[in-house]
This record gives sequence, C-alpha cells and structure tokens, in this order.
Amino acid sequence: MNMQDKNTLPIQNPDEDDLPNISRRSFFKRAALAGTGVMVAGGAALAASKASLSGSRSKGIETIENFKPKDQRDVVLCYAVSPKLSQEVYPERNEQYARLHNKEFHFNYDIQTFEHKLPPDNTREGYDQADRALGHASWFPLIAAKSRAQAFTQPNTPLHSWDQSDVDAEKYEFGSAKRAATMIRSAARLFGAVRCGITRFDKRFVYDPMYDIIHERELYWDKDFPFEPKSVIVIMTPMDYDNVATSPSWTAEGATGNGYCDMSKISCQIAKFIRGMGYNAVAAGNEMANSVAFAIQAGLGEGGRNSLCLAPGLGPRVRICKVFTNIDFEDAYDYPRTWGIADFCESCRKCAEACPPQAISYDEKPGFEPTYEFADEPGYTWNNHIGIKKWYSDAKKCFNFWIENDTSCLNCMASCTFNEPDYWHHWFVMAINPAMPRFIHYWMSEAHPLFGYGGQSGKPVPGKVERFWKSGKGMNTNKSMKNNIGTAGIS
Amino acid sequence: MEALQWFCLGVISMMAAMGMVYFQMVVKPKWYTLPLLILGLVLVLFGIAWGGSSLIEGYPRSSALGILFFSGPGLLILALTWRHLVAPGFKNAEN
Repeated sequence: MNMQDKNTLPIQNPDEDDLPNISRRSFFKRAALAGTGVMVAGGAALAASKASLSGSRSKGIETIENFKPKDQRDVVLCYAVSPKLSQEVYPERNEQYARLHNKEFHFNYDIQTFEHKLPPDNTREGYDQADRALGHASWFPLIAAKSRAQAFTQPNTPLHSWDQSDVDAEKYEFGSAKRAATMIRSAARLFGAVRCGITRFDKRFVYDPMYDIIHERELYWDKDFPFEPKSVIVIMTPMDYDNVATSPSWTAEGATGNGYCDMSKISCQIAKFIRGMGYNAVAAGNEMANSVAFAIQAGLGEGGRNSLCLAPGLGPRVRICKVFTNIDFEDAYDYPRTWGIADFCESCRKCAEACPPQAISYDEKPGFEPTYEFADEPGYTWNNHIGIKKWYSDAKKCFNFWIENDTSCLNCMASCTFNEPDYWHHWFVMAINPAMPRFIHYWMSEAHPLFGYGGQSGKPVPGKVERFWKSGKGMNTNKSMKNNIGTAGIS
Repeated sequence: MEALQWFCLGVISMMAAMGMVYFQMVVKPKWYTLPLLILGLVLVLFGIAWGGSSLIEGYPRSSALGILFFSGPGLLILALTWRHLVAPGFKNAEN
C-alpha cells in the first residue's frame, strides 16, 4: 500500500455510509487543530477574565476643594452611645429627628436596651431564642475582651490599644518595600483576612478630632496619637453568605458580631506583628477613620449605592478593619481600582428597594451632598461627610430601624447584586461586568432576585433562616472537594 | 460533583468539536453555519454548567432559570441551524 492509499482510507465501511468518505489522517489532523483552537479560546477567555478581575486604575475618591476630615462626634453610632453628645452637646438632633419623622425616638435613650428590648418569639422565623442567642454569642469574644465599644467608634480599646511599649528595639530589615507589603499580606491571610490592601495615610478620611466616648473627650492626631502614621493597611474579613441572607432577622446578627470579632482579632494580630518587627502600629475597627474610604483607596473595591465598599467576588459581604503604621511602603502602595461596580450601581437599586427604613438613595448618579428626604432642613445632615462624591444614605433612619428591629440589619448587603456565593458563574458575571452596556446591567440586577439570590425586604426571606440553620449539616466531613469557607455551606 | 460536571462538559465539547470537523469535511457549509453551531453549542454548555453549579450551591431556581435562559436559546439556534443549514448540506453531500 503506498502513501496515497493510506491517506484515502475510508473512515467507515462504505457500504454502511452514503456520505462521502474522508481520510482518517486528515480528519484527526483537523480534529487536533479544532481541539487546540478550543483550548486556546478557553485559555484566552480565562486570561481575559483574570485581567478583568484585576480591575483597572481609577482616580479613587473625588472630594471637593478644601475638604475637611470628619469630626467623629458626627458619626451616628458615636453620637448615639455618648450620653454627653446626645444629651448635652447636641440634644437638638434628637428632637429634630423625632419631629420630622413624627415618632418618639432618642438616639441615646433607645440604644440602652439595644438587642435586649424584645423577648424572643419562638413562633417567628428568625426571631426565636436560638436566633437571639446566636447574635449575643457572636459578639461575646469582644465583650470578654472589653473591646466591643470599637464597633461604636471608641478608640484605644484593649484589643486596639494605642500602647507602643512593646515595639521591638531592633527594626527588621524587609529588604524592599514590596517584600514588606507581601509579608504583611501573608500574615493577614494567615490570620483570616480575605483581602488586604495598603494605602498611604490620607488625612482627608480620618476622624479629626477623634472622640473618646468612655471619657467623653476629644483626641487629636498630632497631640494624642502615639506616632505619625505613614500608611494604612486595610483588611477585609469575610462574612457567611447563608447567615447574611437571613437579614433582617436576629439570626443575621451572627455574621455581624462574628465579623467584628474577626476584625478586631486580625487587626490586633497584624499590629502586634508589626510592633514585633520594630515599627509602630495601631489596630482599628470602626474607629479613627472611615474604613470604606481607605478600602477604596487601597484598591479593595468600589463605593456602592449602599455606601459600602463592594469588593469583586464578595460584594459588600465583608467587614473592614485597618492598621495604622509608620512603615513607608514606598513603591509598594496599592492604588484605587475600578471593576465597573459603581457604574453598575447606577442601573441597580436593589439595596435601596430592600432597605426597610428607605435610608438609601435612589438617585441615578452619585453626588457631592445628600439628596434624601429632609436633607434641606438646617442641621439634619449632621451625620454625613459632605463633599465626597458618593450616594448619601440617611444613617439616622438606618439606626432607627436597628432600634425598632432590636438588632442591626444587613439588608443592603444581602440584597446587593454583587453579593453572591463563591462559585465560578458568579465570578464570570463579575468578570464580564465592565464590558456590559447599561441595559444589561439593569437586566443583571433584575435577574439576581429572580434567580433566587437576595430579594430582602422588611421581613426575612422565607426559608433563608432555616437554610442557615441547616448549613452545618454534614460538617464532620467534606465530600465536595472544595472548602466553601465563608460561602454557601450546603453541598 | 463539580469535577464530574467539568469532565462531562469537556467530553461533550470535544465530541462536538470532532462532529463539526467531520461536518465541515463532508459538507461545504455556508460561512455562517459553523459560527452558528459554535454559538448554539457554547450557550447550551454554558447553561448546563450554570445549572449544575447552581444546584451544587443549593439554588435550584437559579439552576432551572440558567438552563432556560442560556441553554434554551442555544438549543433553538442549534435546531434551526441543523434544520436549515446542516441537514440540507448532508443531503446534498449524499447526492
């Protein structure tokens, strides 16, 4: 048989096939080419997705000229827990809110019984004894460490101590700023962080003056803080998807309290790690600075309609903490990035629709000042840091709902289109998001609850609470070949 | 489960690629026939992958709607392409 015959061998018995015969060699050659093409296309799609998920450089947070740092006394939580601020310094804020909203409400009086006011109702899904106990338990480590006040912006709590007496006498030589940044990120990962970025200390976004609620006095960066910070290490800790999905039930307080404990634990570990290497460091949770602003500047995410930092792959389902240090990271600082998230928020209003007290803006575009109800009343916007380009929420209404609900609320987090379980198809949607036109953004935001995700309202979504309470089923072993940490637990 | 899903999708993809090669060798298709077949196939496979992963993560509604919205149009494209472009091509090749 010569070579020509070999190349024209019938692929099948000609008697059983009326179609023209093709050469086996030629077929396999082309099939191999096609297979290679499929693999190259797959590889290209993967590379494009990875590039998209890296985001592109953005100009970061825009502020007006002469923008001033925020006075911590104007933070709703700080104001509410401080008897002096609420009752003596700014009593008119209580009166104004109660008058405009036509209800009996006092920020300080009402917070005294927070999370202990209403008795559990064992007939009501999400509000029974177990749900209440879970919330209390989730906060317990911080209470035991006498550090829960950091959640209300109290600086210098035991876990976030300003004490620098344990700074090692010898400064560790990192070799380079990039290695220093990578080492700190590695330690953060070890301690439980899901994201870690590093940005320069930016006076615009710190609280100045700070306020010591326990001793009722102002604290100043130049006078009271123990060193001059150069950098801010911003750390995100994950929150459980299934637990957050139970919002606004008492069950969801589990993810909140646990998130705060993680924040305190990780940030104080990183601060101690840095001090052990001979540099100054102070950990912070909600206190000392605006966490969302620093997270955006550190390139961890974008500011969303719900005023939270939305991180790719996690959305707003994270807690943010910071570590202030005097390490200079030189060329290793992160930069603000965009993934088209804020653009998406212009077409999506799911968080605003899901907000029980309607505290979130419905405006199409972000602006430099609040536009919500009563925003034009003199003094009513005392809690907003005016001059930042963002969507302004009325945090007073949000806080008022917490008091009525007798626990905090995660509806804007749970209903966010970017809050998804940790599976490839959600990452895929995230990756293609920047390239999608506006009408597709709108469709994606509508598809999110339609497909069964999000969909929060004033009451817990039926079945979500029970889904959470079943999420630990089968935890003695894992047959899924994947550790779904911080995501849907059922597999 | 996820590993099995991706393995099956790989086998289906490779078989489909070989089928298309065979089709192109025996039939002289119009220039848009192959892109339509590829588009239909990608949509069908994407819908199956979406549906499978949604089931694994515990969201059956997402699974059903994913298959409906992605695999549905894919099947439609494949069926129409087969009926109007592929089958007549095979018929002509027989003659």
